[in-house]
Amino acid sequence: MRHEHVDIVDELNRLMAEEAEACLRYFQLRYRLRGIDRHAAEEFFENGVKETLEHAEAIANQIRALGHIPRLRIELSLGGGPIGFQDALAEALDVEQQALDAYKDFLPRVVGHPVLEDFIRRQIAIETEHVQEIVDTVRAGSPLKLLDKLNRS
Amino acid sequence: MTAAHMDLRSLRRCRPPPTMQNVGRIRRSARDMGLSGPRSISPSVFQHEAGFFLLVRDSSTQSLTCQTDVPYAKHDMETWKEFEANELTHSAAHHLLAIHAVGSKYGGWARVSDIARQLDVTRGSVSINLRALKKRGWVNTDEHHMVALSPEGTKIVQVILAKRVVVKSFLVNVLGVPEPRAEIDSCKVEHLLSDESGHRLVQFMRFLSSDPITKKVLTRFRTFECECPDSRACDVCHGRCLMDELDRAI
Repeated sequence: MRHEHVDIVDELNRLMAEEAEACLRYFQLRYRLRGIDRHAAEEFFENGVKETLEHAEAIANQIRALGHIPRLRIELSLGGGPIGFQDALAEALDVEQQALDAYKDFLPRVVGHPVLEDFIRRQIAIETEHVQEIVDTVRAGSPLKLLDKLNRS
Repeated sequence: MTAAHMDLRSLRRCRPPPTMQNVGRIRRSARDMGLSGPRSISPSVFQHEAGFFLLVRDSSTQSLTCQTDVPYAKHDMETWKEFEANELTHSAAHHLLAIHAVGSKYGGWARVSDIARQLDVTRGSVSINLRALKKRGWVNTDEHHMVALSPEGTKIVQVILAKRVVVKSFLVNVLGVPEPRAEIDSCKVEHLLSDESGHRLVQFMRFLSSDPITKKVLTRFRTFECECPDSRACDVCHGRCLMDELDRAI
């Protein structure tokens, strides 16, 4: 039974690594931020840290439910100098877009699975919303608008 | 000998290296002395026709001092300069090679997910690294997030692959290093080796295979067993036994 899930678990481990790595990226980006909107922008990345960690945890729980132990493989070295909010957002958008694409690519493989299909569809909905929020903020050019939206939701 | 050179020679040798706080003042002082200090070398290293100099301002005595150990400084500083000026990092080299490897199966275009699998890293990581490669004009992307090497990127990949072959061939065919080890070591240096050294390595290998005498030399080398003299002094090591030092290396 457990062997049937090996490929799916491998893919879930990769998804978990995407989320965990994004969490660390946001954590570090928060301290690189400079500029007048810095405080509002920091809050955005703080939320990002919490959410990506929650997503990683949710995936880890799915792996455990399949009878496996999550394996986290990340190769990461984060450096870089000060960064403005717009550039930081562009990085965040790249990361979120990749996470969304990864969930979308994975969906066909779990269609029909009683739990995973629903889980992945939910993640796609959440990530799609995130990407849209970031795109909107990039267009608006201010982190305050994004935070208003996040606080309302 | 120029006035600036005279000034430098009269300065005493100093240690330790400067802190970031006094770098600005050191730079201004160095400019006044007719020295140029490219940022790419190091904050306090300045180039002069006589070589490279390390300048330090001592805040307690308010004096500017200079390390003028030119032979040592010149070699090391130039290496640092080249190393820091090297825009092609190990990571960038591997990303370009991965795009080349994946793209060669799909008409030159690669998906981020396939590049990530090839490198065994996350898609997010690839995506962030691609930003830097794109900025340098080494890769192109399309509206579907597909990635391809630009002509400049392709050129870089070809040079890297050529250097990998050269180094590996030298390690295996000349030095007799086992192939798996040679593969790893050539991968480590492929993007750092200068074109000049690459050419010389090729010439050396061609020289070794050019006539029966050099071929004999190579055959003799392969059976040669290095025995260090008890004095630990030989023509190669000049007073320090490199074999001993390499044995101690981790």
